[in-house]
Order: sequence, then structure tokens, then C-alpha cells
Amino acid sequence: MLATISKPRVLLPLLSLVVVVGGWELVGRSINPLLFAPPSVVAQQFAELLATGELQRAATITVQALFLGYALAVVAGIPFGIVMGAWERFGDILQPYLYAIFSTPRVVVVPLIIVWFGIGFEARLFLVFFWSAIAISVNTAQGVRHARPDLVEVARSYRANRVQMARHVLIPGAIPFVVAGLRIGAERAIVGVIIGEMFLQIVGLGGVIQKGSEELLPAKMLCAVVIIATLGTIIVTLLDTFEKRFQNWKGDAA
Amino acid sequence: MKDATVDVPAIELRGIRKTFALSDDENAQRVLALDGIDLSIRQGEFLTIIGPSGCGKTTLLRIIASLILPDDGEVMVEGETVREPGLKRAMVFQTFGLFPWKTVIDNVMFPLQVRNEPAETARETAMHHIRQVGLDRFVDAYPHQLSGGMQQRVGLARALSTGADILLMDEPFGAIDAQTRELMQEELMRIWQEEQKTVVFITHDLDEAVLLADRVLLMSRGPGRVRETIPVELPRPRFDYDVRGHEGFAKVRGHLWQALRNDLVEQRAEETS
Repeated sequence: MLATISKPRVLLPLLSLVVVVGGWELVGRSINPLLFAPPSVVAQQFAELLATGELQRAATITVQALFLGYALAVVAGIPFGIVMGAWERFGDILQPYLYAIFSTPRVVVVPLIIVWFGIGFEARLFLVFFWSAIAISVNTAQGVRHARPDLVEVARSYRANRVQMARHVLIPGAIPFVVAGLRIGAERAIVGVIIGEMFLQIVGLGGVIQKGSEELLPAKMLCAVVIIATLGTIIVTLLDTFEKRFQNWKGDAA
Repeated sequence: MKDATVDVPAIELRGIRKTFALSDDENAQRVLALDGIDLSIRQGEFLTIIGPSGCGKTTLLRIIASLILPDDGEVMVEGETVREPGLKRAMVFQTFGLFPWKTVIDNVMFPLQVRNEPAETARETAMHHIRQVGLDRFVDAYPHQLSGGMQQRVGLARALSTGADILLMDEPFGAIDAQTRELMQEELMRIWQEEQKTVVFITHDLDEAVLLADRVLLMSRGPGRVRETIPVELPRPRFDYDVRGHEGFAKVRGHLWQALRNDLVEQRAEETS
């Protein structure tokens, strides 16, 4: 049982990695080196950037704003979403504004953010926090509102109060929505931090991309892209683990 | 033992009337679902309610549970008017209503937890009723791991754990396969006799209505009214012999069937005219 399941899970991704990297290498070698770079050249550039410490410094800056901003978004966004979902009137009042902000392109408020927060760490932190918090809140509120009416009635018949209703019925039922919100929030947090680093202050991994573009060094840009992609993968994998832990009652986690 | 309050009905309904709006619009047309229901259920009585689908059986039960309020009329529980769910009534739901994220024991403990009972006593009470319905081996299982019959046993254990005198059961065995249903009926009768509860039991199954009841309430099709109540005087315990073969059983069943059939035929005629 274990062997049949775990084998393809490791083998297939490994195989696909070989194919993708191999293909990239083949294509990369045949394109003008000012426009694109094969993995071998990227690896070389990677080693150089590591040696000078530039990549570590950039990644540290990015990860700090990203993780702190995202953590704040989770801590603020979930409770806010629960309140919005459980207190209908409150949610009704706020929903249109949140949807408006949720669907506004991020870049258009960059000038505003400069006015409010300058171009430094706080500005980037705000970008990350604000966008992902809204995604998390909106999804959480939706999950709370989609509670199964039959279970709400059960709890009501046993005289559960508002807090007990939230704790025993609304929140557990909303977990799949919350996890979806955390995923969207993570994606928006990554985009937010990179936008901040490319358009506010040229720092971090976004800055590395911007500089690579100015210096006509595609390999340098791709180094940053690879790290960003890896960060994204790590976050999504952590969320998967979290989801399975909290939904063991569904029986499909095993 | 039941004391001087024995003369007070467990449940008394006075002039219950209920309409529903056809849409969310305030001026929307309203349909009459229940029209002037008067009913008195004595303590310890097993009352089954049967009627054509759409006659408002479930609405009536939800009104008795105070999950919804009537437009007119009064619900009294042991002599007191009620307007919200209370500790003397416990409901068993057609679709079981178990929390999928809670284990069997946590589901059964839920009403006690909500009441802030100490965890130790809550657990003991819950375990007692889980044993009573024969699920002690599944204490830590999740609902999705149980069959329909087992899930409803959990629902029953949960209602019993409240210690309520009155069980309100909304087609509790409707979603359970026929063989398991017979077993569940037998067990319910056994528990009812052990615990001396008052039971109000909705069903659309004629056999079930007669088999379980001290009295069968027959409702007319919408708007729901009490058409008649028929006492069932078959010897108990009824699982000791073949009730369905008893002459009294056939008599009551035949009477109910005739009445239900007339209702259906009339409805058919109205729909096609």
C-alpha cells in the first residue's frame, strides 16, 4: 500500500523536473543571451551572487516583509472575517467596500502608499498585509455565512449562544474557505512584496530583478524568480499540511 | 416518580396557526401551512404524527420545539408557555444533524458542553447514553465512518444526554434502510419504556406510525389541520410478538390508510380539474 502510493508521488515530480529543466536548458542555449539564460548559466550566476552575499541580503529583506506582513494578515484577517460572517449586518455594511478593494489592481494605489508610508519597509509591509488580509477576511466571512443551516438549527435547538455557535458550528464549517483564503492571501502577499520592491524602493528580490533587467543580465533576474517560486511553493505546502491537520474528520487525509 | 404534576400535559398546543411567505418580499402572498391546531399530549405518551407530504408535520414539530414561532396560538410545555428552545425538549433530526468535525462522544456531549456542565460529568452522561444505544465501540469515530443507522443512534444518544423529558423526532428513521429501521424502532421502544419519556414522532410510514404509537395523529393535507387522533391499544412491549400480525394493528392501519388515500384522491382530482 505504502509503496504503491509513495513511489509515483516522488518519481513523477522528479521526472517532470528533469524534463522541464532539460527543456529549459535546450531552449535557453538557442536564444540570445541578452534575453534569456539556460539553467546552467543561472546556476553559475546564483553561485556568484551567493559569494558576494547579494542574494542572501535581498532574500532576507523580501522574506522579512513577506512573512511579517502575511502573519499580521492572518492574525487580523481571520477574526475580522469571522465577525463579518457571524454578525450579518456588520458584514453587509462592509462587504461592498471590501469587494471594491479586493478587485482594484494593486499598482494603482502605489502612489497613495508612497504618500502614506514613504517607500521603505513600512510601505512594503502595508502592501503585503493589506492585500492578503482582505482576501483572507472575505473568504473567511463567506465560509462562516455558508454554514450548514441544519447544523445551525441543531445548535439552536440545544440553546447555543452566539459565541458557542461560532466555536462549534460556524468556524469548523468555515475551515475549507479559510484555507482557500490563506492560499489566495499568500499569492497576493508575494505579489505585493515584489511590487513594493520593484516600484517603491529597489531592494530585495524584486530589486534584484529590476537591477538584472537594467544590467541586461537575464540570469540574475531568473535567480530571483527561482527563489520567489520556491518561497511560494513552501508556503502552499505548509498550507496543505495545515489543511490536512484540521480536516482529519473528513477521512481523506490518510 | 411522576408526582402531582402528572395531570399537566407534557405539551399543549392552542390554536396554532402558521403562514409562510412565498418570497422574501414583504408584501408577498402567504400560504397557510397550519390552521388552528389544538392538541394535548400527556406525560409519557408516545404520539406519532402522520399525514400526506406537505401537510405541515415538520413545521408543527419545529413549532413545538420553538425553532420557529407560530403566527397565532400558544405552545405550552408542562403548563408553561414557551417561545424559545428549552431544556425539557430535545430534538432528533431527519438528517441526523451530527457535526462532521466532532467525534461520537463530542457530538453527544455537545448539548451538555453548551450548558457549561463540568467536562467530567458531561463525559459520564454521554458515555452512559452511548452505551444505551450500543455504540460504545465507536466513541472516538467520526460520523462519516458510521452507517446511517449508527449515525441516528448518535443523534438519539445526544437527545437523551440532555435529560429532557420530551423527545421531538422528525422522521428520524426516514433516511435509514428498511431492516435497520425495524431494529431502530424496537430499540426506541425499549429506551422509551426505560426512560419514560414523552415522544412526538413524525413519520410518513403508516406501519411505523401504528407500531410505535399510543396514539396516532392524522393530519389533513395543507393547510394542515388535525383530522383525527386514533388510540392504538396494542399490548406492550410490542417487540415480544408479531405486532403486524395482530388484529388490532390491521384495523388501525386500515382506517388510517383509507383516510390518507381519500386525501390523496381528492388532491389528485383538484390538480387535474
